[in-house]
Amino acid sequence: MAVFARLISSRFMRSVLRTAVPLVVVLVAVMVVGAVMAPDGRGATYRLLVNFLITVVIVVALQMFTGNSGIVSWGHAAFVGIGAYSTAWFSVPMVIKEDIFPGLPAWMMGAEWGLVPCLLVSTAIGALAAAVVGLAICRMKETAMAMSTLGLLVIAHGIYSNWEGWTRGTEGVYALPTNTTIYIACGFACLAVLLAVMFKYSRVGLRLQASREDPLSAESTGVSVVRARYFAWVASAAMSALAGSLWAQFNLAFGPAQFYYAQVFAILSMLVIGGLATVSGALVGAGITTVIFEVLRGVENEGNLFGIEVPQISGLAQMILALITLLILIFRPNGLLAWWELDGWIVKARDRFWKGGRKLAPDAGEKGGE
Amino acid sequence: MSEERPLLRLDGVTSGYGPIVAVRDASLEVRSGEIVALLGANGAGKSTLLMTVAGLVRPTAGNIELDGSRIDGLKPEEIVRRGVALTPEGRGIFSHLTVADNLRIGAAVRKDRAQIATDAEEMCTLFPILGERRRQLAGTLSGGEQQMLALARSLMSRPRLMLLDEPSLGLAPRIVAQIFEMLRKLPERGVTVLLVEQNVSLALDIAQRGYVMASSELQLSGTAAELRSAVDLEQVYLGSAGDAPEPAATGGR
Ligand SMILES: Nc1ncnc2c1ncn2[C@@H]1O[C@H](COP(=O)(O)OP(=O)(O)OP(=O)(O)O)[C@@H](O)[C@H]1O
Ligand SMILES: [Mg+2]
Repeated sequence: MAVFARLISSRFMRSVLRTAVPLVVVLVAVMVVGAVMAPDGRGATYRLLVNFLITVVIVVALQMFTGNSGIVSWGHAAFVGIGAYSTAWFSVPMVIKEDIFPGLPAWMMGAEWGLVPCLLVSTAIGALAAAVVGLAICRMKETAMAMSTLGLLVIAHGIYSNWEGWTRGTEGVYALPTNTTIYIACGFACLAVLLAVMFKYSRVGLRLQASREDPLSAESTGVSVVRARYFAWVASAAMSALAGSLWAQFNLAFGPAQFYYAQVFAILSMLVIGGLATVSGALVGAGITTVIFEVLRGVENEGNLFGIEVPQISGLAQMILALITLLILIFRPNGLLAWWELDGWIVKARDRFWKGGRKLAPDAGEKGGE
Repeated sequence: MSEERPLLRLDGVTSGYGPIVAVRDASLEVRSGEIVALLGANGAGKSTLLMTVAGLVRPTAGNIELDGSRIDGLKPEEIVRRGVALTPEGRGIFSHLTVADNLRIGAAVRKDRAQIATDAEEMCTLFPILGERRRQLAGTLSGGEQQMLALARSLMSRPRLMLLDEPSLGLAPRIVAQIFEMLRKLPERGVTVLLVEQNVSLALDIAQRGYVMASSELQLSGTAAELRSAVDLEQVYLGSAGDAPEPAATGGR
């Protein structure tokens, strides 16, 4: 108890809470909307909101690595896939498993685990895979590292598509249990946000950010850049795998195509639009992108924009998203939130309001970590 | 030459980048409590020499000893832990972190948390401007303030030896004077200095001894007074081969 009290009163924890609380409020609001609109846990809106909350976990996980290290990872979808497949191995009913995963060993054949064990095992497998791959990747120079994550994505896709006995190849997996509810998705989204904010303000997070700003200078200051990157790589991959498990237990059927370029592009777009450097940016980007996708999907599939009939155009959502991402990169290269967390924006807005729009000094303001 | 063991000793150090040799067979000594200047034209290899000592560039030959024990081949982190701090050319501050966070990272190799906080306070007395700007993003500081931050960040690791790479780069004379006044006092704090400078007269004002580097080699050494009067110095700098016995400094890049 005393330890807990000290933790809360510490400057670190105050910064963490100041940044995380507004984000948690947003996530809980989304949950409440979903729970009120669809108390039976059905319908398109409910599905949209739950998928949004799971997407938040995926984007926040990527932010932990890419946002703090400045190294773009094209490979995180591979870890989402690891989480999803691991969950399938341990949760699909045995009768179906014998048919779709003939390669599984006997002890795994019999496993019909629930939500929590599946989440745990998926996270562990994701972390393990990242720990192994990271030994090679994290030693590389920045650009080589980004390239090799792309290689990782392609290799993982090759495995998911061809390892018939364990993945059923391109035909995909089905018959997973529906365990993820909006409450569970929200709980993990909040946890992901909290962990990512804690990481950002932690010692290792700070060092990683220093290496993002100037790797050589960070190294000469005594930061072990490789170690910081490795830590973030494994942690963020584990969180991605967790998200994959949540996602699989909500969407029930999937195939290798669900963890490939289109998804990677969507996740990265969310991060770029909201702002790489902040956890708030990940959340804002996920929100904006989800809304855009939803509106455009109406156009794409039904020729329907806010109830108005418009011509059907396929591939429109992807194209518009790409266009928006480009525009952001051109006009606001650090994303909508740039270097400020939401709490910083709230403070700035409050100050503007009280001080009659006086332009504030380019101060980090209530930026945490201090 | 005193019999005392030097704090830093380079013996026949050769280093560079892949096939490029930027430092050839360099031998030098820095004794505890000294300020030693390392002078030379652009591209002479001064920065490379400092980075080699700091462990950022691996030497291909020779020994580097800190207080009698070999440090060549160690990781930069370990070298910082042993008391060597490099303030890199162009400062290398972390632009999108706050001033306070920059200082905190300066103490990355230390574990004594309470003492770190006290030291950060002390940096803010040493450089009052940093105290005023502690919550500001470091990239929004002026050039002079950034240089002060870079120095303060180096001091945060509690170094015995500071390697300073052109602290006057791009700064107005008034600020440079202020910074050099502070550098002059470093030995009183127990910090020995190896200073790379383009501004020869300023450097020799605060240094007791110096070395001159040209074409990747240390070509001249002596006390500050000797170097000041050395005719070759101008030649090494201006690169006018003329009647200079040494090969003229190459323009490098
Ligand atoms: N990263 C690098 N890769 C390859 N060559 C390099 C690199 N850095 C420096 N060099 C080369 O090494 C030589 C020495 O460079 P160095 O930066 O040490 O010179 P310097 O004396 O510090 O010059 P200046 O006064 O301009 O800072 C130059 O010829 C330069 O082109
Ligand atoms: Mg240089």
